[in-house]
Amino acid sequence: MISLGGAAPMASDSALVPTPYVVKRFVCENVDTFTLTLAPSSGGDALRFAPGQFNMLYGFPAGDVPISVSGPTWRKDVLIHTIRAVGPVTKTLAQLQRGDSVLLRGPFGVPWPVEQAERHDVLLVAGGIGLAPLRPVLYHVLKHRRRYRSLTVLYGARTPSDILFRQEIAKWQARTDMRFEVTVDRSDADWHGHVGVVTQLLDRIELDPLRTCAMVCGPEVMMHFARLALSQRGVPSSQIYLSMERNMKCGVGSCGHCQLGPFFICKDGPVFEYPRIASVFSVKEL
Amino acid sequence: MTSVQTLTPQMLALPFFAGFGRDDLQVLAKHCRPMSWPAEFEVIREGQVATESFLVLDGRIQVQTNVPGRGEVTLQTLLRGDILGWSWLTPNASYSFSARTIQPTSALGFDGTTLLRECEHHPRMGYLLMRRFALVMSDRLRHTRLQLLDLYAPPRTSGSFQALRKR
Amino acid sequence: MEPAGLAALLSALWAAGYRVIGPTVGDGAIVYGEVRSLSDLPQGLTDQQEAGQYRLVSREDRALFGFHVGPHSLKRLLLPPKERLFATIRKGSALSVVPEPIPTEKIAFLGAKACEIQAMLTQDQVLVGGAHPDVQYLARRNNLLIIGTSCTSAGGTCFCTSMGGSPRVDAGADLALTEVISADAHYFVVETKTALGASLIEPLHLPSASVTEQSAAALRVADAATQMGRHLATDGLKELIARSLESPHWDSVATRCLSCANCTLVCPTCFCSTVEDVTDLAGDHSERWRRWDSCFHDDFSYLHGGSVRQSVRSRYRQWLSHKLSTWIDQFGRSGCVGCGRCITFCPVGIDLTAECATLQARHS
Repeated sequence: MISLGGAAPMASDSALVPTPYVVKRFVCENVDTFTLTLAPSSGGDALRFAPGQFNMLYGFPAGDVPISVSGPTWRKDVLIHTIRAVGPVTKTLAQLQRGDSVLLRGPFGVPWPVEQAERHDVLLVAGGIGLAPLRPVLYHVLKHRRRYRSLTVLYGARTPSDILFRQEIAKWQARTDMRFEVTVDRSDADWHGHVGVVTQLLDRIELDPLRTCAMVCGPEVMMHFARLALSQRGVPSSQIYLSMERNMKCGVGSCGHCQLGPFFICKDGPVFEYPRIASVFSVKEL
Repeated sequence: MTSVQTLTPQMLALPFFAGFGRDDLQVLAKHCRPMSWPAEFEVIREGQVATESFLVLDGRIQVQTNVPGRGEVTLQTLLRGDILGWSWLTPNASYSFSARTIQPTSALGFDGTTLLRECEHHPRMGYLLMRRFALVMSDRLRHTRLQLLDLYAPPRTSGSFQALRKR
Repeated sequence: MEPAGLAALLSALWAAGYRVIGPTVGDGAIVYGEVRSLSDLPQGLTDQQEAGQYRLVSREDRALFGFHVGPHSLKRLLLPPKERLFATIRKGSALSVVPEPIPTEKIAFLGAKACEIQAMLTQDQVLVGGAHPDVQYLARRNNLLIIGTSCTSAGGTCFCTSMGGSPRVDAGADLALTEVISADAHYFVVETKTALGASLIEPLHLPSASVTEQSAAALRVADAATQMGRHLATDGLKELIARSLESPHWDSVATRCLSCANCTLVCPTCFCSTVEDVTDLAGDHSERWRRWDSCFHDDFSYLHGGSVRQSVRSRYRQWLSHKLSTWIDQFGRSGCVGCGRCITFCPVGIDLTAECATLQARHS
């Protein structure tokens, strides 16, 4: 039985009640994606989070949406989110200016396995906006570089103009202690990089399958094919992690919207070790 | 003509050669030659009579076509281990697309016309070779289908948010 | 305890500051409302239930709790159909949040059936059993006093015994009553289940129930357990459903299911909710309201661009497989208490016990 009673709950303890944050910086990443740097309106430290966790960001008065934190875990003063404007709430957020307010609650969800990945080759496979939830992992691995073996990022974007974090990617590509490959599905005349889907890169890179820890984030179909490619290359299923997406509304497993089979994606995920979700991953309309 | 020694252990480690016996490799080796090209080199051209396949050993090649108004559009880039060109497998074929190196690139070139003749004489090797090309093609088809899905496209309802910012 | 004793308990509850809610008659059904006197209770009435059918009919006696379950359940009190979570006020570019105050009203529920209480305990796990307890629910739950009434008959769509339950009220109630009525007697056997329950009963100085009275009550409850109108074979059901996600049987249900969401609204354990943000005309004040939602609604599984569950087949599958299979993965118990409401209140009479039996026959 659940223990009831105890100290009377406080209204402000509710995970459903947000806290005001103020926009410190607004950066356009591409035609439909932007990055918000947010600090608590009351001053003081921002919420702490782990790579892969998400917050519910509330664009007044439209409502809220789940957005992964895309900044480094060690920034105590701010929370950074990279958002694609695709729906009413994200389009409201897209109109924010420096100094405007948003409401935020979180952090929610199971993070990427940055500790289990220590002493492994870290392989991050990102598709589209899926690069944003993986960026905190990249920051973490680079900060604690000696705890990890090789570091490879394979990133697929729709077109060259859709590529996120362009200046940062150039810096990562210049480093000798990691590999960062970008590929686009559709090229233009100025693009001289890879063309083709990200799973094609996955088939081509050298990897030491048994020592690889792969973290994959992107559209479900992309993750499906990336997982297949990784398995074909011999990476054990238990070393493949995927970040799932469903209609997260409450963040704490009580509103029921984000269920996928036995899981509440908001609290049992979004990050899953592949074997945990293998049986439900490809069931249509589940 | 080259001997099996043309195929170094490094080359033989490529998935393309998996499953071939020593005799098969001997035959294959007779019809291939190492090639290298500088950057920006046109390896094949759309419409040319197709006689060759290239197994990329190092470097990078882009498969392209010319779209009026858009110029040369790259459809796919090929890396070490990828095969460029299989049109010679079909009768009276010409290359469907052009291919150009992006950086200095080395490859093994196979003479398709003579290889086809060898396949008739060595059905076992021919069978293995056809299976190998079937794999290359199914791989290419799968990737092309994924590209067609346009997985990162914005949902139909969405537009540019930058228009919204000009309020 | 005579009916007069119950009337005294009722007065004592109101006097102690409780708002007493219980079964009343409204809209041709037994629904929950305020109970100020015994005359508010559905005296002499019972419900006849079948798939897609519910009728109030007169009993031959004047029993106060001689019904089974109606369309309402305790979740109306603990997780209201609509409630405000917080308000947001905009001043210039600044936003401030005003959380909804914690509810303090003390409520006594009179006449909770055993399956109602099981359903409440099931919802407790979902809403306050995790890392982030729902503070509104928790406060209401802590302020709720429960006077249960064991069933002395079972309804046409009842199957609590299949779900590990029993018509007998036990844990979860503060007081448990069993109503005994015959040609020459009408009394309640009262069991105190908590210290709070005992503290309410003591001032009434009730006579102890005799052994005969106690056994008459126990016999009626035991009888009810043998009268279940439905049966669900739960052995291996969880696993069977989990491996039958692609069964053509879901298509068969989909040809009948209207996706109307009635089953989820009457289900005492269905907890899904959504939120709505309501803004004033000036746009400076907005309120967030939570309201019940249903996995049968087409936008329930909305993911940028469209819904994951577009077909009725997939929505019925979600509901049934959650209730009887994945709920066990999530919470270690079934999400079904066997109350039968979903069968009774389905406008086309879809019966989950029958659907499961078909699945079992097809795939076992």
